[in-house]
Amino acid sequence: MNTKHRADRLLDVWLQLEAPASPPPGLLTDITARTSSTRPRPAWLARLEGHHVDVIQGGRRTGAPRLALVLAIIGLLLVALAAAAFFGSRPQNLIVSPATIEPSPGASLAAAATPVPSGTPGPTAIPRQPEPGDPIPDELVGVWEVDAGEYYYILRGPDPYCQKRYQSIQDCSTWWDSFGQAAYADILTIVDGKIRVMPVGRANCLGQLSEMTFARTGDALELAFEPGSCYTRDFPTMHLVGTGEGGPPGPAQALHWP
Amino acid sequence: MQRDLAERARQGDHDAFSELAAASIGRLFSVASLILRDWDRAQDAVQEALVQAWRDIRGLRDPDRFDAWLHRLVVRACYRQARGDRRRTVVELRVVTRAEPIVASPELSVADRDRLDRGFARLDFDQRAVLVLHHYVGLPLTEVADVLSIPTGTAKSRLNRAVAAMRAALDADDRGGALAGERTA
Repeated sequence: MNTKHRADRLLDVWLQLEAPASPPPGLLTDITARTSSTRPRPAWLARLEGHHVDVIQGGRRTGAPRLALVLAIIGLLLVALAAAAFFGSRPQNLIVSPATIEPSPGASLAAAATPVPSGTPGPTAIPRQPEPGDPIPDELVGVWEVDAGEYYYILRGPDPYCQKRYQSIQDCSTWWDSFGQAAYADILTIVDGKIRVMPVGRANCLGQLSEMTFARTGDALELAFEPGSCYTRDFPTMHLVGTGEGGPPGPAQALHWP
Repeated sequence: MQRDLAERARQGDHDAFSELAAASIGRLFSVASLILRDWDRAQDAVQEALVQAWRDIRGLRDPDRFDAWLHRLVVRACYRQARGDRRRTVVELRVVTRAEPIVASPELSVADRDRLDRGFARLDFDQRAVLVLHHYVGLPLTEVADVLSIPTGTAKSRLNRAVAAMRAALDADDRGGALAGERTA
């Protein structure tokens, strides 16, 4: 038996030995007592209010109803905006047109949020409403190695990637996993000294806020989600490996031109 | 049988739910204990998961997925328990409360057991969850990914890292032991 197989076998045996043989006495009684005094919620409420990971629906399509609801609301808002524009009101003043923005590293959100003059052609993509808060500090911007082959990108807005993929000119982040796919796209702002995280790029936690504390020491960055955040990942200490532009380290080239 | 019970529970039959809970509580408690390494918190996690299961049982569309759903609920409850611990500002020394004696095994020496114990303690919760669901519960990786709501590739990557870390814990300690033996010889 080689070392690898021996280790796997030991691991299996160890897990079996470590697992308790039976639950504590009284646990089932407690649970039965608690559940007997409550009634299950209606199905629609369980699916609507329950965190999507708490209500499995078979397969991996666990976020579908909530996502569908969010998409329906977004669709209605878009229709309302289009109708308002058609009838001559000026809803464009509320939104930001990426076509009017010259990408520059130091551009502030206020300067970038130039209203679209009435009568000019509309933007090619519907821009996103700005998230509240201040830009993130310079010390956080860059590519951070989370683990071998995994990178957390904190990008200064307006960044081409976030503009193109998420119609946002604000600071944003994405996580590049070891399989070469970007996920966890978030818009980042600073509110009350903490990083305010608004997920925009995937179903998980979409539209649900999270907050992170941060601490940079040299090239190391510590991030920790605050209680009550939708995200719960435990980040290890990250290390700065690049700026997020101009190619390696990390798949920055592909990130900016997917 | 389980499908019938799950179907009845979904209709509000509490007795059926109690039967399901009784049949699964041992496995859920083992999973929570392994992930959290703390029997008290594991007890809380299992209780939280099963109460939530009853509360949201009508939201379960496919009764055949009841087990997977319970695994998901208990893993999420473990995360919440772990997060609750991180919120505490006072440093606590937690003693692993073990109600059972440590069972000897001819396959696993005390030294190996200790190495695996330390290696496992160094894993993060994501890795522990994947490792326990795959190696202990015996779920295939696609099912593990489903339970954890992550892509299969991510589950595979976490598992590979966790297993590698456990192997390294064994190997490193083996080397350390050998070196120590050489020094003292």
